[in-house]
Amino acid sequence: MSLRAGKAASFVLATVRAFPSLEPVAVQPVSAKVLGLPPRRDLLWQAVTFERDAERVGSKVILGRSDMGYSKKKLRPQKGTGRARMGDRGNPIRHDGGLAHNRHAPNDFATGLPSSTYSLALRTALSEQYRAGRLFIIDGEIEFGSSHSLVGETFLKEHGIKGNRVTFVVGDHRANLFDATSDCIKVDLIPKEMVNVQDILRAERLFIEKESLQYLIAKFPVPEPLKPIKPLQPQEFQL
Amino acid sequence: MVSVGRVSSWLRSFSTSRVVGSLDKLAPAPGSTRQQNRVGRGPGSGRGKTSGRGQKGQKARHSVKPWFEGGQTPITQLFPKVGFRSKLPKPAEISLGRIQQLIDQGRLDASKPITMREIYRSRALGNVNNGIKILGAGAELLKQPLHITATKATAPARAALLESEGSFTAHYYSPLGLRAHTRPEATLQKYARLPLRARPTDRRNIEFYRDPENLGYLVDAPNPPQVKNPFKSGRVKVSPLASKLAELEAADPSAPRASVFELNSAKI
Repeated sequence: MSLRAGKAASFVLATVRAFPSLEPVAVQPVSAKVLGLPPRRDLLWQAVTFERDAERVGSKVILGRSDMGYSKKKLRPQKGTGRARMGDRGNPIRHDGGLAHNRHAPNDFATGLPSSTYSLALRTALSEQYRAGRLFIIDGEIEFGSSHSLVGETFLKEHGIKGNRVTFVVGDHRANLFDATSDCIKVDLIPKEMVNVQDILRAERLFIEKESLQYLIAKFPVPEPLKPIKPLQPQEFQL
Repeated sequence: MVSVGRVSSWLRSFSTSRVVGSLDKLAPAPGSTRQQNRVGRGPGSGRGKTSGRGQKGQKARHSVKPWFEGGQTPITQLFPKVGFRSKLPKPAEISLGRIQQLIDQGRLDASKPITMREIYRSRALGNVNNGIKILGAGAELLKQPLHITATKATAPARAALLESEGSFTAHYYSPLGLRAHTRPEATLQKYARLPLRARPTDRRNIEFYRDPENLGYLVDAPNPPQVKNPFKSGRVKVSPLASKLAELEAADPSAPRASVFELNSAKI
């Protein structure tokens, strides 16, 4: 280990841009624990698996012996026929019987993940996109002046991202943006409350409003190290 | 309110477009996942015919109750129960080495007396309802004299503290008193007052905190609690009638007398 090893920077200098020109307007220091995290393939896998498990509807219905629509009556007496014991017609041992272990929709496949782990994964995903140069922080609202579809197409064409998967993370409903991009197949609009790790990783261009980024940072916070409890003031509590 | 956006048309175009970004490169950490063991799925699987349960019998068909030894008296019934688990409340333990570590981390202030309140509020211990015991481990790491107050300390811990020109005092706190000591805000919020500090009432604690060897806080106390001898009662019971008679007799010595003994035995 080198004794002269430098200290890692505690923040990154992100560019804040205007919309729709994408001209830089400011430089914003952002904590390195939000946009400067190291790549963690396994952590992102955990978070994405967690999300996709929770997304499953679980609509599969597997028919058991009682779901087959047959009579539940015993087919023949238990004793005295000279033949084998036999229950009802839905018995899983019969060729037209039900399945032994049935289940009914909705089936829940959701798995658990500690919120601190998910929080770290989401910040890691943001860092990943920032490092790849795909994350664009927008000053103010992401909104067009017009709702015409040509506006949306022109924006994508001008910035050379037509055909790419473009994601806008917005703080509220942006009517013009919504209408102008409604014909573009690979453009997603995501409210800041609904952002997940997959949305971030999937985007080839991720436009996020500065306020929405601040919202995400607050929602998925950097855990604070353990500190001692504030010492008591003796005059406050006299025993 | 926020509208529900078009949360991706990606499922539609999944088959025709390559998934970009690093979603397709994600993988679990090596060795962190394990394949499920699927039994009864045919001979090629290696767990087909008997599904790893061997041939015939109760274990092949069902399961055998845990600790069942085939009818032989199980070991759990073979020997009588011996011993017991003490129900006496045990204090939380913290060593001098750990205290020095907390001081180095800035979570304890060595220049002031360290009481159970400081130790609790340094977040080193979770539950201190039954007091705190100081252990001597890591005593050689101490860098400064310490003035510690706690429920009790082991002999090596007491010796190490006194040797380094520090001090130790063993203090008694009831669970409520300790709560008021460590968490006065929470106590005030719950009871709207801070209770007076209780003194020990039981023989074990009174004797412990009056013992100079334990450095107890009652050693030179002005009015220490006393251990009551249950076999020696200082009072003699006298019936109210008998005491009234004694009063009358004292007032009028010429009146006829009946002894207290007779009155008591006649149960007047």
